[in-house]
Amino acid sequence: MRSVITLMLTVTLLVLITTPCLVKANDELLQLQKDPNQWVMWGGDYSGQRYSKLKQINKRNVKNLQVKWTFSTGVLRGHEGGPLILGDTLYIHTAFPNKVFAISLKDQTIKWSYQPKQDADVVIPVMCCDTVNRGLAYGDGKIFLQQANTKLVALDAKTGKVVWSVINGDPKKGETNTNAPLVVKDKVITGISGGEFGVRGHLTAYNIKTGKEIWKAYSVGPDNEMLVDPKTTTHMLKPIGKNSSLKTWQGDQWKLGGGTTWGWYSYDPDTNLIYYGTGNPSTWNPSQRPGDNRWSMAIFARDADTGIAKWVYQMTPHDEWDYDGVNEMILVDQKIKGKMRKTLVHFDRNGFGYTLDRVSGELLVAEKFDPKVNWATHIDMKTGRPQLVSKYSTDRNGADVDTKGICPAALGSKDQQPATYSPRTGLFYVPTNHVCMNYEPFEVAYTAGQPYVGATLSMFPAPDSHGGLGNFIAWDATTGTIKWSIAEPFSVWSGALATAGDVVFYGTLEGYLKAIDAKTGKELYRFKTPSGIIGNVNTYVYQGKQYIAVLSGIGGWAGIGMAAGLEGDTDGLGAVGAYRKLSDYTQLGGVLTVFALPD
Amino acid sequence: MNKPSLIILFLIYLFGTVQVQSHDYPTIERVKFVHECMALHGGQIYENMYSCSCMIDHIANNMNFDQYIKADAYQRMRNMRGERGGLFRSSKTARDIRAQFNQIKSNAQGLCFRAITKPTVQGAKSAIN
Repeated sequence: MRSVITLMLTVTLLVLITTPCLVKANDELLQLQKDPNQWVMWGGDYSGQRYSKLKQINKRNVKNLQVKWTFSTGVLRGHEGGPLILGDTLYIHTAFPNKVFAISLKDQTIKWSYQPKQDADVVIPVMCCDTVNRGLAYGDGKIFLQQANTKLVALDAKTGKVVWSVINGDPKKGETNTNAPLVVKDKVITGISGGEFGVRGHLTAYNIKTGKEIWKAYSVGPDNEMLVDPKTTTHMLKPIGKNSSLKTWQGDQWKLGGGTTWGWYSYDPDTNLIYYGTGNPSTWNPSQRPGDNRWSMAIFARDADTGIAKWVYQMTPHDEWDYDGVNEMILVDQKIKGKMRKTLVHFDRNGFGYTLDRVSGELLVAEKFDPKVNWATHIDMKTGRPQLVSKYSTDRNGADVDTKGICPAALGSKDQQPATYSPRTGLFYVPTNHVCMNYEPFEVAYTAGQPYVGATLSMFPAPDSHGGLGNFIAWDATTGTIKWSIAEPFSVWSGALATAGDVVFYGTLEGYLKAIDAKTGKELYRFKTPSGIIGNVNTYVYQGKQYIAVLSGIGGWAGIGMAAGLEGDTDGLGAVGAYRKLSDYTQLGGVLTVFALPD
Repeated sequence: MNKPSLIILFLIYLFGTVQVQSHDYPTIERVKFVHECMALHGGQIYENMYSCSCMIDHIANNMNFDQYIKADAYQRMRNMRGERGGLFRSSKTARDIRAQFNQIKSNAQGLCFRAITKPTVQGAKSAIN
């Protein structure tokens, strides 16, 4: 015991000595995230569990919830992410043009607002999948906004004044941003979107005080640009060796390699590792890029200070279906086969729920979290590779052949909307898609700033099932089994929240906020917000009262398509489809709805 | 109490009963429909309120609330950009549900807006903004 303490002291001292000025911001956030009254980052805390210790609202009284106040963002289109709550202020963001509002919790007045100037004609045409933004980050007295045009902005949390800003990419090359940044120590971590435009993904750390770049780690390419060490960086517990990425691409295809980083980032202060996933390799036509296309579709664990990867795990080598690996990484401690493990749990778009040892990168569990998943039979636990089913291989069937009945669809069995974990039940609560597809790849040539997709898709509800497009499931990550499943008419695209009141909250595309019993999944409450919910449900306390807050905002009004000339927009795929001016209808936009129990 | 008022009371009773049986729509949803409908028809004027209320009553007589919510969601989601919207734009289920919904709505529109001319009230447009 004494030696452990000595070791801990030594390590702490070393950290203090080597990083004297870094400790402050980290300490502040580490303290703040322990206070359940506030909600200071996307996941509630660094672990991404989205679990709140609050229990004023519990499974017995949740049925009495009422709307206490609402706030219209005045912006159309999908509103992802959720509010941050710091002290007496709520910070909320919007879809493009990415406005930020600081709202007083005392009287709901706007303390300050920030509206960036972004060129819609340049940015919007290169945003593949709606003009969403997944929210803000806080640290060092600043609110961080990652704008769509790739500008990362630091705003004074008290005044909204711009402290610094930095350009993280180039929309003319198809680079955009949708992610929420993450603050770790003295760094602001951000990624890049544009996998449908041949963008080479990277994760980048900027100095929290100045915006100066500290490190940048590409997902694909030469070792030095990926910040990997051939000897110490491991895959399936073995060193990755030299040119681990370059060897798995033909010619210069890696330069358009994709592996973008538009999801959520988690952090473990004990391992000092940042965890995140990489997206699809470009193009969607697999026969144009033979090889495993490393390290697209992978989980990275990187040292927060240096960016050097400790381990990496590729879920879908040589993707043939657009199963981006960017979904959230949830860090928990659970007993697996009788042994306590520090785990990372990840529900991949490819339909498998993965449990890894987050210290070593060892693969512990990999099972389907939707029984309809058919592109692979299982994951080989020795190699970590999915065992493919040839009739669903779009590569084997080749270009210009329509491969039918692949489950899941390109949307994945789950998209970015983060799941939640309750340490009280030991279960994960996962919003999912229940959708399959036909997929026809075709030859495509690269032009900078133009869609680089190369596949035509059609999607439909999973056949021979309940007919709906989604499920909300409870998952045991220690064994890889579904505990129970709620059939949903639509895909569930809202981030979930579990609380110590044994209630789990999530939103639906019809616009319902639902509360269910964490043990049984029984529905306890529902309320229909103004439009579809793809935002994350967050919770906080102000003056002794617990509140539940969620953004709604997708689809606008039923009649608006006709009214705004949108009816002709039938293109099946993201990267296409022109942007229409909808300024006449801005009052129909996103709405933050805040609930509490009656006074 | 005279005879005509008794008849009226009886009619109110009958009508009220019929309404309870045929509508399972929450008040919020009907108010919301009327608000949106008025805005899309030029603003909050009485003619629009009459026609739009008539429309939602007609819709409620032709589909139950669950069907309405589902169809309404498909209708809204078709405007979603990107690959995710593709599911709602092009799938057969989506198109069938939408076609049926549009038919009911267009019948309601024909029935309820027949006698009403386009609003000419000044400032009607700004009333919704």
